[in-house]
Amino acid sequence: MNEALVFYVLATFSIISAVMVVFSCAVNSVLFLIMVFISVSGLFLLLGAEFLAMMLLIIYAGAFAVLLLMLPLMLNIKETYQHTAVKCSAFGVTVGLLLFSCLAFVLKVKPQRLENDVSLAVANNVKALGEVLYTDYAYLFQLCGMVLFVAIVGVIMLMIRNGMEIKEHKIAGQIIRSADEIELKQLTDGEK
Amino acid sequence: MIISEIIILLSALFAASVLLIYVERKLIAAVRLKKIARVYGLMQPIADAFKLFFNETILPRGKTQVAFMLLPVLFFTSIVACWAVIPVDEGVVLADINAGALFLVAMFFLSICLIVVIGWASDSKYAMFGALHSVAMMVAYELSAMLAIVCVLISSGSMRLSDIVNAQAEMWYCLPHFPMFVVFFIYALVRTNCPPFRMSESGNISDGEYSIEYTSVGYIFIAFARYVNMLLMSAVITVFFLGGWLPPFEVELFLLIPSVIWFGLKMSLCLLIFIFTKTAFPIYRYDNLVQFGWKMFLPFSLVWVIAAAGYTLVSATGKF
Amino acid sequence: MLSIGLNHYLLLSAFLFATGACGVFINHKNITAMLLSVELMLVSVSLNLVAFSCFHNDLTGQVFAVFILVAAVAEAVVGIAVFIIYFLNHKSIEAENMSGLKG
Repeated sequence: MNEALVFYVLATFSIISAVMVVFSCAVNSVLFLIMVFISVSGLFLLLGAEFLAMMLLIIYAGAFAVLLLMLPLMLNIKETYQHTAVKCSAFGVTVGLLLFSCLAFVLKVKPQRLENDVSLAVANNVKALGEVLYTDYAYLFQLCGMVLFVAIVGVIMLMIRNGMEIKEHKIAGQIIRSADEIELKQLTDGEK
Repeated sequence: MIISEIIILLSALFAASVLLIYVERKLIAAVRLKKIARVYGLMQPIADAFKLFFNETILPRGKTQVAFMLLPVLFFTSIVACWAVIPVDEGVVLADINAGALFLVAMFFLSICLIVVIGWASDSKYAMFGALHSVAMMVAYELSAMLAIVCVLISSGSMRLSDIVNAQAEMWYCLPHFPMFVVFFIYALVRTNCPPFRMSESGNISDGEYSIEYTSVGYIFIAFARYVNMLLMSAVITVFFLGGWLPPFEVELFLLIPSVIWFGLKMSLCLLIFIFTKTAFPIYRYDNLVQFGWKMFLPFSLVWVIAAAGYTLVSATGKF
Repeated sequence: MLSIGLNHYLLLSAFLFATGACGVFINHKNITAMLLSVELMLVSVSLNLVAFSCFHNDLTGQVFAVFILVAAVAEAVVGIAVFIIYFLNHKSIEAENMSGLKG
């Protein structure tokens, strides 16, 4: 009963924010996306997947959201086009509804009758996941590392731009004075 | 009842941070040879609170008003939520979850994200730049601090915070992981806005600060969140590196003292060091600071993680 | 208010996925919004995987959700970098104008 209540609250929350992601602009939609992530991570917790819930919060809501926020904030994009064509949105909504009804239809035809009686929360989800990840899927896991590495190198290569000025302090240049730049003057009393 | 526990936790935090504000003012005044107001300076915090409450509330004109009003509360919550997993004594913890350390990290990242959003919602250039500076600085040190936590997790073999404390019965992790302890401590200084890393004593009147647009109650929340954050970071350091509630030696006399008091003592030691760095150190230039984080701390802590993992593997299996 | 079964989670994730797909069409001029919609779809897929893994008591689903997380983040970060470069070169990132292959 309690669990059902939590599920419904989180589900409504995520549905509302998902819709708002699509229909609001720039920074707002990023914020709503963060809300979706938070509520989905709550659902993960409900399912007993502690590790993934926390990872979703750390990676998406923490690190990734900051990046996404930077995009509209830093690029100074003009929000002139906001869902200009009604035709397009109608088309989009139709596609979404069709997709959803197809998926729901599949569920209706072949309902998954698995009840929550199996002990979902393994005593220690993190440990159990680690044991699978580092044995059966060790190579795939390493491949993940490679993917991330390639992404890092790619992004850095993209960002190195020829002829881009980097503004930095040149302290030596500010401090050093050559002998001919300095002039000694004898001051009279009036000038002191 | 969980609600009563939460209320107890919140009121304890409130009392502790009020005490912290008072002690901080006294210490800073003592170090800088300032005169203190009457009645041992006791009236000063009350006067400050009074002033803040009766400030005029100023809201930005744009469409960010709702976010602007909500954000201080969210920021405060994201910091207070960390306290739910911190064990003050054996079994004295709100929620001793398995992935406690991960939860802490998640909340740290979330509060950083909230700072960017605060900068956006303030609808002002200065707040935005302040937020960007703070975030760039925190992220520069965040990664190495997370690696420091990873070292502790490798040594203790658990993510539950009470297990981490119990694993330190033989030796506190600040000894074998001393460099990581230093890294994490500096990260704590960055997060609590201590002046080697930030000029923040003047709070909402200094520019270059993400909370610049906040007045009145909104500012109270943010300022309060900062003090709770100081308490939190010292508690986290205590749990991860200073052996939590365990006494330093297994001597009869030490065992007589209740373990909560040990926890409090270690926390106040950390807090004292925070406050003294606040008073004594000059401010670094921003770009030096960020470069130091990325170029020195990050490679070093990566090497340290590999070394710690190798040592644990060798000592567990007994072969190379 | 019955007990929560697998179906509830699947329906929810189907809805999120459909919303994401819908978003790609609706915001077909705004490339950042398209990125957000794609992220929404990826999250819904990982919700699906985790739900299955928990109800079948098999951790493989969660392992694949971890992989999805990695792939999603790598893709999105490279995407953001490309957008920024494009913006610096062309002063706009409207999807309509992105017809040339050379950035």
